Amino acid sequence: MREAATLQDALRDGRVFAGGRAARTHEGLPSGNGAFDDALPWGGFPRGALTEVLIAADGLGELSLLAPALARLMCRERIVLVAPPYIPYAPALVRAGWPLARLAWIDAPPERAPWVAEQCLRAGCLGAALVWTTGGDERALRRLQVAAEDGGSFGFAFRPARHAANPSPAALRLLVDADAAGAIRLRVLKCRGAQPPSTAFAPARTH
Amino acid sequence: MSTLWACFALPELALEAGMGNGEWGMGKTEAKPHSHSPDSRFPIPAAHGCADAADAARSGSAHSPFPVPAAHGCANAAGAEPAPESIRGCAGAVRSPPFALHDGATQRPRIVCANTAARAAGIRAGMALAQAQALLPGLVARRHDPSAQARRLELLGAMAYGFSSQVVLEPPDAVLLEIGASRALFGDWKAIEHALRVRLAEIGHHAVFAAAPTPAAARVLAGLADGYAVAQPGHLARVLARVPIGAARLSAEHTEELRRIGARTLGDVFVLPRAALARRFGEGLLQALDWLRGSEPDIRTCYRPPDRFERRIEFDHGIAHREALRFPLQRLARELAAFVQSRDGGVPRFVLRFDHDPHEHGAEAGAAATLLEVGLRKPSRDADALFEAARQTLERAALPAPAHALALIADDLPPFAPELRDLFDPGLRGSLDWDALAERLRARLGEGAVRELALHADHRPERAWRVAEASAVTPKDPPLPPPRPLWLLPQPIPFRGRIVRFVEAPERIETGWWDGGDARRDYAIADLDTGQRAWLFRVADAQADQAGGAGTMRTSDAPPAHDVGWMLHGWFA
Repeated sequence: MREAATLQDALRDGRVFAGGRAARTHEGLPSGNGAFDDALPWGGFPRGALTEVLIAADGLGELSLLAPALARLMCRERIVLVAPPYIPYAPALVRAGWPLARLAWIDAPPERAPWVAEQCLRAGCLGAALVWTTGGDERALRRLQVAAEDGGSFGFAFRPARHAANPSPAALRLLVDADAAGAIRLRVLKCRGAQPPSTAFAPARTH
Repeated sequence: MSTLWACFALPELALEAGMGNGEWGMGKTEAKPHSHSPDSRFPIPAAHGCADAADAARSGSAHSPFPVPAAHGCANAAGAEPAPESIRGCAGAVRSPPFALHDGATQRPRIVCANTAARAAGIRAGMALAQAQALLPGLVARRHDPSAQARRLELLGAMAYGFSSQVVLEPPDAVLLEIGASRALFGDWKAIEHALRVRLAEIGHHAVFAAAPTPAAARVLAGLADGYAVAQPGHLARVLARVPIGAARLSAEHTEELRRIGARTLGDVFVLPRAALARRFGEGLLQALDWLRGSEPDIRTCYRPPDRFERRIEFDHGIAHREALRFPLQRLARELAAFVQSRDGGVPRFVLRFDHDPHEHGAEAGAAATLLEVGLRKPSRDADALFEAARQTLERAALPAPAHALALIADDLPPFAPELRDLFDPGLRGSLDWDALAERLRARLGEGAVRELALHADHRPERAWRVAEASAVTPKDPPLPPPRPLWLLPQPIPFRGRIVRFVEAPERIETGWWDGGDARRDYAIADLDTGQRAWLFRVADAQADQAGGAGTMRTSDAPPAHDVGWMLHGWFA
């Protein structure tokens, strides 16, 4: 173990060129949507922080929004889905480019879901933990945010859009809903360290 | 590096194995790693060549140190005892109530051996059991079982196999291992000795150690003193020359005859001319002496670890309470971990067998044993993880009757496959790795809570996925499936929304007529007025087919009326 630690120390040294990979400190995870990434201070989703995704309904492309970013993350790290509202459908996940071997689906009762997500984020062995919760408990979110900081993982919490008006400790808050014409809108409600962009983004929808 | 054989002898193995058959709680050995004083720590390749570093605290008495001439460059750090008989008296690490083994004779059972507490009360080997019990009414006596001892020696061989590829079992109570080559990996003899001591203490054994360039010499030295090491082949003959004839492990008749001609130590024998020795004692003695000195190769059959693990602990009386089963279970888990570690393997699942007394519950005569299968998410070799898994399984299960014995059986022992890691992998940021985390979550949420997904070759959407087995290998490049929703409903439900438009041409899925799960559906992807994108299907019937079938479905933007008969099967999240 000691050898591994010293190797990591060496790699952290700025003078070591790590084969084309950018230095990974607190960089963001680009979402693939250029305009959206540019508007965020991290250039994407923030690592070691909680991103809250408020959704007006299921099936608005809320997971597809993260899919390219997570697919890239899963080249090297494992992610977990905690208490998803439906069955994560393997053929669609494969189509989205997710290696199934690096994905775990954790089935937990709704009241346990925040606790499970907290454990997953704090453990630090996972790239990201995505949790679906309906509760409006702000303390649970704060615990998730702290756990994501401790573990240095990406935390994503999906909650109903009705919580948009309540304050949240998440570093990044997104709202996904549809306008009157049925077109999907993605709005940034809060992004820590910067003014949230006032315009809405139109996420590209492949499927 | 030159060859160096280590030997550990367990003078109380019979007792320890005997106690293992039930008095597991009493056999708790202090996990006392040999605590040498710093000045007695001689690394093996020291210029002096030999270091007698027997621990005074352990051997208990400082009288009659094994006579090693200090002038010859050996450091005699502490007292040790001259004969194996007295070493039996110094295994003071075991603090347990008086305990003895008897030979089990029906007429007049005799004591075979007794532990420290029993010996303190004057109980000796060869004494009649009745006499011993009269001396000490609280004496726990159990029948000596040589096969239990042999099995225990096998286990110790398996443990030693973790330190060397050449392990030789020396029945009844010693194990030899070649450590000359192991030193590169584990450090000098002191480090190996310490590691072995700790491992032995963990499974409740106390041993005496020695090391020498030949296996026979190592065995002899282990009988003389604890911690004795001779690293240089050049010093071996000098050290052996001081060994009393009685401790040289020659055959009984040779020993007797040599005594009769006035030889007291091996040195007295070494100076005799070979030809005369051969004439008088035969080639056997010469060969034994050559093996000791290493002038002739001593070829022995090496131990091979078995491909199966089975250990059983018998109880004196039936145990029905789970809490009381914890300790034997923990002991078995430790032994299993020691076994798989020495194989450099892991164990993915094992079976716990609780034997019941068939006469105790007349009505449940069929339930002679309860089998509990313990499965782990991934092969493990960690004693705590194995015990935790077993304990959780036990907590969920119910025993129909008190258990009279507990056995742990592991048949499936695959090689351990460590996870491959990228050089630039940032490694662990937190305290847990994924396996530990998954085990913890499983423990809290239930066995099936942590799932991995896999594709399954079936066109029916609800069967095109499944929960992956732990060892499942996903194909490298699966064919790209047609557009599918990320969320699948566990059961299709009647659709009540409002369709704005259809996105793709409909897809007919018609299959499964051969296995009774007949499916004949037209799937469509539809945008709803809420902005949602749904995956819908209609059951295609023969009538609709005649009337043009799926062709009736429009892919135009014209919003259809609230279509009846649509089932919702997924969301494009």
